[in-house]
Amino acid sequence: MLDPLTIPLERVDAPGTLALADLPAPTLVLFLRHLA
Amino acid sequence: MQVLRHRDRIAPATLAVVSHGTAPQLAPWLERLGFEDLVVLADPQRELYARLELRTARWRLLFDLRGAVLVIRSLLRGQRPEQPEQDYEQLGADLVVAPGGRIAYLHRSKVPGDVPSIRRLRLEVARAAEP
Repeated sequence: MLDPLTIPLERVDAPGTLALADLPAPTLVLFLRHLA
Repeated sequence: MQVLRHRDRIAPATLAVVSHGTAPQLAPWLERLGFEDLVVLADPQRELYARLELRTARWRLLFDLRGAVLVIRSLLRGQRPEQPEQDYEQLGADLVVAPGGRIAYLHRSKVPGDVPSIRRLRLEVARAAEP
């Protein structure tokens, strides 16, 4: 099964794609919500 | 988002935001925020969302009492909900990735407005950073 942290996601702040595992850890990841 | 306003309290974590929106939809939002140190990632196919087994709010949950209390508390704190543009059913999550690519903490929201406190997130980031 594919590790969720290795899924390539499109960057909005810069060109290209990035997986969560590529970010310098520790990383706090938030899902954008309407009320949070 | 509350966490973004208090992000210095969660240092030294890298801060990333994931959304169901597409990059063109999210770019104006990011520009409006004006944060230069924020990584924003688009997941319009919801691959990550599905892989983490995150929940969606059916109508029953949208009117759940716990959710209503959290929403009212947020409104009393002066937070106004964003107008949904993509998916009003998404509940989302907060997670901390530790060095080595391990998910050290995962909070799956159960109802709208169900988010961990800044204090809890700070604690989980500190734990994840420990060798």
